[in-house]
Amino acid sequence: MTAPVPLVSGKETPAALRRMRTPTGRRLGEWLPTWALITTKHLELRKRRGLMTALAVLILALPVLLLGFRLLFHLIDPTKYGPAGSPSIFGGVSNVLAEFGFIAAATLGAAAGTTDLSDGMFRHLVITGRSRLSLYLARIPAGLAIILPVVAVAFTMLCLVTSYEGVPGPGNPAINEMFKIGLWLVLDVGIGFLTGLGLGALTGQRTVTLVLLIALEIIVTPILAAHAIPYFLDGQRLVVGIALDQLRPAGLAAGSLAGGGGPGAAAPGHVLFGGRGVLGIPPMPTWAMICVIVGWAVGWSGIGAWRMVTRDA
Amino acid sequence: MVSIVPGQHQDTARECPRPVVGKTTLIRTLLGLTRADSGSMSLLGVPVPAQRATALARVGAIVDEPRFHPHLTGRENLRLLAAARGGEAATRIAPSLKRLGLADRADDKVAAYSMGMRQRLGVAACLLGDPELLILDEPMNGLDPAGMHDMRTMIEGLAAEGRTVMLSSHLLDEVERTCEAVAIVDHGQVISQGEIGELVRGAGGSTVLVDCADPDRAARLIDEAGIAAGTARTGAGLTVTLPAGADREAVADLNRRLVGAGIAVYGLAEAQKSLEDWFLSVTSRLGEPS
Repeated sequence: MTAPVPLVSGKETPAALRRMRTPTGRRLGEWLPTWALITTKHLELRKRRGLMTALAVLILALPVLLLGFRLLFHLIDPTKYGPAGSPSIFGGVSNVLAEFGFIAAATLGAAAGTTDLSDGMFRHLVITGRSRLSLYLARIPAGLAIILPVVAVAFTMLCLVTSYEGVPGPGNPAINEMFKIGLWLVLDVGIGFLTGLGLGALTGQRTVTLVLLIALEIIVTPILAAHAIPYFLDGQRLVVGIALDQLRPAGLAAGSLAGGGGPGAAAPGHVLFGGRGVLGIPPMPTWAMICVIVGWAVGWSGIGAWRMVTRDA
Repeated sequence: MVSIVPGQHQDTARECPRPVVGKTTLIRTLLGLTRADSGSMSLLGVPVPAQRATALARVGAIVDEPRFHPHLTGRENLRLLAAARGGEAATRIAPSLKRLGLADRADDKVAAYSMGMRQRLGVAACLLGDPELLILDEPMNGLDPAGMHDMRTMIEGLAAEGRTVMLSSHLLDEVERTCEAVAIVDHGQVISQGEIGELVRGAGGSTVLVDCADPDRAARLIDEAGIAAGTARTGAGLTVTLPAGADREAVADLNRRLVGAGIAVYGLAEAQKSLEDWFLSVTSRLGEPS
């Protein structure tokens, strides 16, 4: 520590030195995150072993186990157990992937929204002069770049099993239907991440955020979706899980493991994705479901960014 | 208005030692970590928070205990901060780690770092921006004597490079050893500031311990000559309090008079007032009615 080491090599030209020492205020103040900011945040999240293990278990391990056991059972007793690539298995695993994918994404979002604060790094980051909004926005691509590939791997695996281990027939999902379901999963997981990120940044506490979002996903949404509450239907539709469910592709709406089967269940597709939900409340207009979904994404991002900008570091 | 300005030399170090006055709050507000209710501020002449990014591009700071992502290595933590700084900061990671003596442990997780290593990593983070001004809030906290020595040496080295280092600390002894100038901030006002030597000398006369053959006669001689503010017998010697503002020539004059009167002088030792004495004399007056 005693031997000084120059921070510049000594070979720089005067112009280069001047450029290196020139205050970079305007650039730092820009709200768009830089590539370096995104990749380093990605690194920070990726290096959390516990979190990555939780994501792998929630998103990858469940389909692998479900499909693996089904393949095994079908091999042992093909008459009693159908092939692992049957439409019902495909629908069921996709719905499980949606449920757990949302929770996993919310977990990752909550971590992305809170760890700088809880680890004491937020202060260092603010002192760099970098715009706080830019710091917040960098978390979005950084987190999505982790969660989306994991979901994509799990869903691709499911599609491959369905394609190669299924039985030819009218019930089998076509490639375009699989593509729609994949996009819907991406949307579901993306909303989960943005909600977790925003709520995490708002509360500053990972555990509280997680408990709230898990409660929303597995308690509040199913209850509100199962029954139409008189005079409160529009309020129920403001819950993102219900709007997402209404957008659920037709291939998942029928024969789902998630159950439901109310008046709106398995209705013929006539909107963007066509599923109209597996849950039990009347359909909502396309514009309304899009507004609710976009509102949640933008709203929670706005709230999280606002809190990050105004929070004491 | 609070104005803490560098001294005559660019390498002047600063300190705001008065407790319970919110010096950390002042630093946090300047750095944009917390919001000011009202008023205006400038940092290195740049108005903040209006041009915070411009000002902070020239500043490095450690506020409170330096904490980092424990699951990342020291180098990775610096990569994060360098990415936030932008510009050439990434190229300064390795030199900063080497300079702070962390090169060998740079790829260890921060969770395994000692407090002293985390402090050094904090300083390394400050150096990523090649700052003109370093603001260190309680940098000696939690350090063992060797760590404090290293930190002091490092601060002196940074000042020697032409950087201004502002140090906020309760440890006045450390401040006196490390800094050239101090400022006391009390309830949002700078009570006193200046070069440490001048402030301490101006705060009241220093004392000289005189070891001589006949202390009683020496005391009478000095009192009659009126060259001291007071004399007192201490053990076998004599303590002479010089008048406020007296310089080293007064000590030579004292010696000449004693020797001229035939009193054998065995030794003269000037006992300078410490920064703590000065601090206490200034802060004790704060409670007095004006």
